[in-house]
Amino acid sequence: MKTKTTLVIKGTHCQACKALIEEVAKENPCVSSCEVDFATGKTVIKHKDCLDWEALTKEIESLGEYKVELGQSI
Amino acid sequence: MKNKQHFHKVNLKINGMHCASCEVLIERKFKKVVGVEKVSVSHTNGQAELYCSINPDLNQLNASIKDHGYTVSQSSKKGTFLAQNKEYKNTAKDYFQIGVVFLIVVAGYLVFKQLGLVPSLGISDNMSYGFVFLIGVVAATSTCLAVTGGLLLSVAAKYNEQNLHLDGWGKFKPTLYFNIGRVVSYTILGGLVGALGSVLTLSPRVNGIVTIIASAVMIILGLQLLKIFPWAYRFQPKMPKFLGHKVHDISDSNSKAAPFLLGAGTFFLPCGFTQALQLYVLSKGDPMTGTLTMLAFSLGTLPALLSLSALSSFIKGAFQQHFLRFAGVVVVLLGIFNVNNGLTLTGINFAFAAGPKTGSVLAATDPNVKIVGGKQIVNMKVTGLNYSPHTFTVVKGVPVEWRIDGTQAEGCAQVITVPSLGITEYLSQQTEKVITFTPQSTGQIPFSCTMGMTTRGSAFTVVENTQGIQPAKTSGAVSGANTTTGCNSEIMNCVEAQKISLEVSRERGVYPQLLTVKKNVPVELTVNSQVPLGGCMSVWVIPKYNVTIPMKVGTTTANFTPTETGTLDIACSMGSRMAQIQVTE
Repeated sequence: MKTKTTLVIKGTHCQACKALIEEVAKENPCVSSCEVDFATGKTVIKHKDCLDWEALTKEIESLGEYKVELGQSI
Repeated sequence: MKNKQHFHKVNLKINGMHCASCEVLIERKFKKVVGVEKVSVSHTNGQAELYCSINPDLNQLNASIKDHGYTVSQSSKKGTFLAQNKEYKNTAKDYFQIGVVFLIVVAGYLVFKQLGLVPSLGISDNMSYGFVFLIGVVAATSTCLAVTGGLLLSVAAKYNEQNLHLDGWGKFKPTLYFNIGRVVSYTILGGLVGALGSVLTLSPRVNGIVTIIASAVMIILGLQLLKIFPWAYRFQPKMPKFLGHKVHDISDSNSKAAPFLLGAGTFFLPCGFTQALQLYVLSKGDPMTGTLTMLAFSLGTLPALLSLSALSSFIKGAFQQHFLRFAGVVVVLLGIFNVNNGLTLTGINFAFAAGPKTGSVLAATDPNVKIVGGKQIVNMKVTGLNYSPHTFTVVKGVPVEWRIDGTQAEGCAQVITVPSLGITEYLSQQTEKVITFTPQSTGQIPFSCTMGMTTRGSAFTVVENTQGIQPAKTSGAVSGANTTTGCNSEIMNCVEAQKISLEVSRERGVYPQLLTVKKNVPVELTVNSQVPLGGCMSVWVIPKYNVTIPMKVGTTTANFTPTETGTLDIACSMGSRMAQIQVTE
């Protein structure tokens, strides 16, 4: 089952941040799509139930000075 | 780690990087290319160090990051100019190009200036909106282009550099919002200035500081574009963190509000024309006139600013690189130019400040200055708190006869002060006041009322005497005609003067409140002030005899001869009574 989750990533400031985070997220086999708005940090991830949020959050935060704040599932 | 030695090291030059995220992104992309084992990318010097087991395919490397707006060029193979440890990526050729651009820009400016194409339009009373629009057109291609255009250019160029992937329209959008913000804010604030008066206009000093800050930002952005100083580039990763966070969001985000607000903020950026019009609106004191005048003006500035926006947005490829370079040079030069203006406003005056100031006209073309018999005759009218005209360009070494019609002056405007010349004069309500002085050096001679409430930016601009005007012979450098009808101790014998004194202290206030003197006998009034007095209190007057008493701490002497019996007021420069003198037979 696919779920759409909206979260906010603090610290994104440019196109490169967007590309980087989307790239990393999509490498995760459980993520089917990821859209980052670097201006607001709003990120929409479509994923399967198998997604390990903790691991993904860690991975994104290790890329730079980002802070992932989970929103709620829609 | 120990394998590192066996790998073959390749240095690459990467264009388009601007932040740490770029580094990570490129490192990740490169690692996927066959043969690349380890990557280290630095955005501050625009280089990538690759450790490879087999030589990687340059095209493949390029293709891997091209979509993100970066380009690769191999730098170290023959890259003799680019030392391995250098922090920046400019080659000698780059510097040569920057130098050429610099020369072209400076030469262009000088040619324009020589041809008199740096235009000047006067602000006069009751202008039609069509004329205001025209002023806008001129302003946007001259002085306002220096400030607003510079800001727009630096923001646009920065935005372009960070968003190389965007198409022309995407790049154009933020500058469009910038311009919309500008028009909207001018319209609304114009109305507000008309309605509220001086609340919204900044004092010259604050204006100067704003200019200096804005110029500093422009210079830093310009230097970043040129990549001349690594330290200037360093500002970037640091600034967004705290101070510059919002500013950088502006250029980074797609949000409409940010460039809009930046454009709106240009109302407060000091540009000669903008300020002149603000004052014009201020003097009209009508919200509707204010709204329409500023709307017409901002619309007038649109053609030039929009073409600048379009130019910076729709260019591509190699030409874009050249454009960024060109923009960098222009922005840095404008920044320096503006710092200079800002310093002038804050009162710090450099000799070169007066020269290149655009918009200031040469003496011969200043219609408000007439050369008669080796004197520069200047007429000025004071209405309420406004000087009209309020700026004059005079030449050095030629006496200035400054005729002031103060019959309609109100409040503190009844006293005019020229700090740099040490002149403070009471403007008679009945007759024209004449002040003569001879400017001894080039630069600005600002004047105002003692409270600084009169027309902002009022000043004489003193330029070199290039027209060969023969100065008339005058006795002294500074003399105030019509100042005292009484005894002047330097010329006359004042032995018989009636000496009276006033004291101003914290304990007793003004003491005594009433003095008595005899008619037709010279009076020597000594004022002993023990407290520093500001505002209108800094100059006291005896209106009937046109006597001004500068209230410095210490004693000041004023001389006059009462010709009528009755009661005389000693007032502050705004007219409030401080003490009285009883004149008896």
